[in-house]
Amino acid sequence: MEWVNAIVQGILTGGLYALFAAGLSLIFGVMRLVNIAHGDLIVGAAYVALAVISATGLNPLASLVIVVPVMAAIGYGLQFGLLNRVIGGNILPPLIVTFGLSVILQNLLLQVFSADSRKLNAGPIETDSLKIMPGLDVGYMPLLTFVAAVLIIASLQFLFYKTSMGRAFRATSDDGEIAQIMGLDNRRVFAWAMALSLAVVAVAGVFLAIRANFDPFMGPSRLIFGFEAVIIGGLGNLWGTLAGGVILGVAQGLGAQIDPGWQLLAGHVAFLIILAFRPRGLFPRID
Amino acid sequence: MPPKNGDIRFKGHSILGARPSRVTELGIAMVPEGRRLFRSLTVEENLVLGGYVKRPGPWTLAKVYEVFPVLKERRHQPATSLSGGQQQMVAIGRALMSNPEVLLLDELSLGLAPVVIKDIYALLPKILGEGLATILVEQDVTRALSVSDHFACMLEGKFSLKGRSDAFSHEEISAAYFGT
Repeated sequence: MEWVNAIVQGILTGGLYALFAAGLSLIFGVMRLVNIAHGDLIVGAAYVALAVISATGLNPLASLVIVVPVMAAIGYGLQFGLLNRVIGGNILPPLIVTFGLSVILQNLLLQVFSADSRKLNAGPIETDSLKIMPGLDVGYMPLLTFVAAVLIIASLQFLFYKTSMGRAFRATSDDGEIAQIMGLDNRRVFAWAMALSLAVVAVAGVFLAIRANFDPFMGPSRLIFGFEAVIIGGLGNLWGTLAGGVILGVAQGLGAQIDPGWQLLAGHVAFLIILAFRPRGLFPRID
Repeated sequence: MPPKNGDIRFKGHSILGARPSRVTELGIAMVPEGRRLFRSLTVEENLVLGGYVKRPGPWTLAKVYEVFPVLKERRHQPATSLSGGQQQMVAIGRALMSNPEVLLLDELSLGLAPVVIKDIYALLPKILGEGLATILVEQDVTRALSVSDHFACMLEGKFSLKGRSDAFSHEEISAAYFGT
């Protein structure tokens, strides 16, 4: 039963990793941008939530009503004002700019919020759990995180394949030059994609901050989990990203079951094994 | 490629360096060489995106399907799953959806089987009948001459011969075309 428990908890943790990864996957899919600052933006969203909560006294989950639009607006501005200048053609300039952004964000958060680790308090829901059978309890919070991940990925999937905005995303991703000839303004298409990515980042940040302590420097390690989930699942496939997150979570859970010190290592090893046998991930969509 | 000098004017405006979307809004549409359809979009989505600029005019989705009935049958298929000739129809339909005043057709016959090229050219009068100025860039000289009113041969970036399509013999045109 201990092992079943480790797998179930791993799957639920995978939901959080899928939330880390979904925004990353979306941005790469639409504009081939590898956002090194993605992890720091997740942590940034957690601090935005912290500020909103201390100003309004809202529950962290309710604070999403404010944090999501704020992060989306930041994403739109970030893409339109900064990243659009370096995107297109060479993949290196945007990589360097987002790396710089990562360093700036970490230090900005340090300056404003100090190095103290923080946590968001969501109340009794954090500790309550659902007893499925003896020896197997599922916490409401991990369950909610997983459900949120599934809903967000389903919504993104719907948006991508059933709406005119998604059509613009796919067309721009397929052939940016021709999309512009059709009248699409790729600067705005990219800005909307980043806005959407950071809306997901906002949810990821809040769930992360309810689950564990956070500090200004934990972004890069969240980025690694996100990357691994995206690559395991296969580039450009959102459901694949969810599968990637779950595989990562389960590998970590099983690793921890063997020895608590093996938790992170087991995740990375699973990633390396999949990379060795399926270099393009399990369900790739993008060549 | 940024131009070194000169100007491109359309209806009295310079369109040199204008954003591609602006050029389309002004009424110039292009069928690019090699078709370049959006591969993750269906036939219908490709066509709808062609009408993104929403210029008023005769061309609608229904009208495109009327001219190219085969596209209606395949409207929910990925555009790049169609045969070469059908893909060319999608590319033409996509350009027409913006209701252009000038249609640019680049290498219409490239990579298509001769019988398919014949079909596509047979459809051109139906399209041009809508009073649409068309500039066709084509290596299949005989076919290009058969559908055009005027022609121009270019050799190393300069006009080597131009005039009415029926005013010159085949020999004169090939001489200008090959520079002999």
